[in-house]
Amino acid sequence: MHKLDLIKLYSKKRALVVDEFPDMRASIRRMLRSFGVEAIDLASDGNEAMSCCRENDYDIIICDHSLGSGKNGQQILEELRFTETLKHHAVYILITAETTRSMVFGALEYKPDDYLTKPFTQAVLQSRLDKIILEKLFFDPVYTSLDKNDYERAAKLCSVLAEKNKRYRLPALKLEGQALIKQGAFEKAFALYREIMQQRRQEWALIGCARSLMGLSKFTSARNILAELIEHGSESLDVFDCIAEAEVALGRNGVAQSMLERAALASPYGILRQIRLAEVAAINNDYLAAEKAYRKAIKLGVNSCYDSHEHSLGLARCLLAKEKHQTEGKADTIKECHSVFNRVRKKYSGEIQIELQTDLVEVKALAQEGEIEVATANCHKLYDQYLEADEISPQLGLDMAAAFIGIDEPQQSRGVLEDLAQRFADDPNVLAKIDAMADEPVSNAAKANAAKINLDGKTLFENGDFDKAINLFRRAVLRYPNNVALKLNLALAMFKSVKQSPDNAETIEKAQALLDSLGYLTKEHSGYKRYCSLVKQFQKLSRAA
Amino acid sequence: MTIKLVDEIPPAHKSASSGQDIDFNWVMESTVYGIKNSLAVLQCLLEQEQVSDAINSEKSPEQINIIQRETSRIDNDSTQLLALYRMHNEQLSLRIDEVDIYYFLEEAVIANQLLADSSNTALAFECEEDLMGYFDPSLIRSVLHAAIVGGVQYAKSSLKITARSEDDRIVLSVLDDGAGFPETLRTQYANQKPLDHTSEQVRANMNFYFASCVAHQHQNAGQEGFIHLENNTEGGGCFEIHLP
Repeated sequence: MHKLDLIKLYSKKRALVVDEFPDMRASIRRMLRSFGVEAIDLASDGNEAMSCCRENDYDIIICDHSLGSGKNGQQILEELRFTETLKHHAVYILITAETTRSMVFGALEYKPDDYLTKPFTQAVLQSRLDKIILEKLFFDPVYTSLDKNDYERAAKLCSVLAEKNKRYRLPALKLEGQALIKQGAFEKAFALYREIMQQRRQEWALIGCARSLMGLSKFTSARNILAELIEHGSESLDVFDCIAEAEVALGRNGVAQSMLERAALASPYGILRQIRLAEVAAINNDYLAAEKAYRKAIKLGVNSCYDSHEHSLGLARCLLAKEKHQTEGKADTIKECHSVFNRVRKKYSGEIQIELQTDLVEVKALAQEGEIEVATANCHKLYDQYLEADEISPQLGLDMAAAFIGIDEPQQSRGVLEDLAQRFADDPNVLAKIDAMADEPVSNAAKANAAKINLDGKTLFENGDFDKAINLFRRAVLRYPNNVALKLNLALAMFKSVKQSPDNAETIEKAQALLDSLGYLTKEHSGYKRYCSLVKQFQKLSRAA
Repeated sequence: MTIKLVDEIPPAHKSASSGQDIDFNWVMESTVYGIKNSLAVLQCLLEQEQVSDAINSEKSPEQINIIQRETSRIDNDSTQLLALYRMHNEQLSLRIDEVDIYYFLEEAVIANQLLADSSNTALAFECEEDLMGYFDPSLIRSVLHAAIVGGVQYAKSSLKITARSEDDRIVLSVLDDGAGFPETLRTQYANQKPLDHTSEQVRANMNFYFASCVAHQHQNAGQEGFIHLENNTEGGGCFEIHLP
């Protein structure tokens, strides 16, 4: 494009410059003026920037990452995109200093169009901006469709544009793939990415293939593609996030957690990833990891549009789980829980669902610190409120069920979970959480799965393949950590394995720990007899050893 | 490549005089941050100056050249200072990105154009348009800029930046038409090994030490990056960084 045409293009743009330092703001404004931009607003912090954006539609935003104590540049971008205040054709450039690189890199949330490092010359800013502006101009019709959530049209436009200009072919195909995935046209997306791959093996196209396969519920194939990328040394955070999603869908939460941990280590400031990590770790009963991730999420949530009461309550749930196994510092842990409850109540006062949830988690805390009578009375009162609630979120239901377990009323808990499973029969994520909490499978999928695992286990037992049986049941226990029958089967497999090759102190130790975790079982439980006989058998074994 | 935890603060160092703990990580970060902000403002002023100079071309460009060069030096040195400090504390995590190398070199030329202009050096680059590479753009950029700033100083009249793909490696090079590197310097970098920073000769040139550290941090499929110095047949120096 001719220089004069560019100036004309710039003259129609409205720009916002956000920087702490007046000199910098003035300098960037001067640069933009010399490119031809006439309408330029200035802001010195996150609040000013947000209010400018609410009043005006900007085409160009140049924002420094560090903006004092309020929102930072990345959080402004997240909130603008989250609230759909920023149009797709708008350019967002984040200015970072060398010192903040780890803070902005690899955020899972939203990425700016470009990063610029201070100090930069006018020529560098112009060269970057020209490139982005021209590209955005080329894709303008696509962005208009995306703004209207018309993904089908956006994808069609992309495929036309890809043939129009060789230079924008790859960006066009990338956009087309994204639009197809958003539209839910996974077959088409897969075909597109595979075609790109046939021309040249590229990481983003492989990730696209995997995402499309996941949309088609082909999680194993997706996982294999991503695992191969990691084997070939990929360090892309997209790959780790994506494989974690696939592993969760496959019920392999342990692997999912380690993938998320790797990504979170490389990019510790992405809040969404920390939240996901916390959730997955909590499902895995890895409460220490979950606690750490929730603490991070709470810290990163300050000023963020992703802040939620769930992070604080999640932390409290982890603390309560930790307290059960603590030998020292129990009182401190409970004390911290209560201060978390106070904070949540203060911050979200008047929000009935959140208050109810907080009260329910508090029931567990009270029960654990020995206030069992208060806890029981509260729990029953809260159950009445629960039954009258207009809307029951999955987490509220889970908290209700957990509260009943806390006051040792497992039948009531089971009733709540069964009701919840009916309400959310179409949501596999919720069902997985329900089954993870229940001591016996609730959802049909989990029942079928448990039946299959037990059948497979039986065959392995018959063939004397006890080590394979141990593996099978160990994986199952990771997935359904409260399922008593599975744990007993695992212990039995361990017993048989030790009988077969006696010199195995490690297995004995693991089996002891496993049986210890079932110490709460009472005579009424259907697995109690099997539990007692296994405990005796292992006592004999360890005496013999 | 190993990813290291970046947000853990290293043990604080004791200050002998006050007895108080000083968190040097914070000291380094905020000092470099301050320097960069000041440089950003200076850079803007300098550009204004240079533009107005070009209009009433009375002044000698000599002083402008010195200010321009020293500004770039402070910028590069402070980047290196922080990066080396982080490497020393095992806090530096590489940020590997897919990089469009044509644009990358083009921008390196644009960023150093004023410096080259003010010292009458022709700055050019040569690269295939669809060459892509995987490396940490921010660290490699500061290696490249330091090499350009050094190159401009030693060049007679021209400096050329090139990139090529060679045995699964990306090779970026900066060629000048000056007197070339001295023999001792070239032999030091001949064995593609990381450098020993206690050696006196290595200490004489921090830029190359930094470049070598950054190169060796880049690892992929069993290969490690390295730097290489040689002289052209025509005599000029040629700095190369090889990235797997």
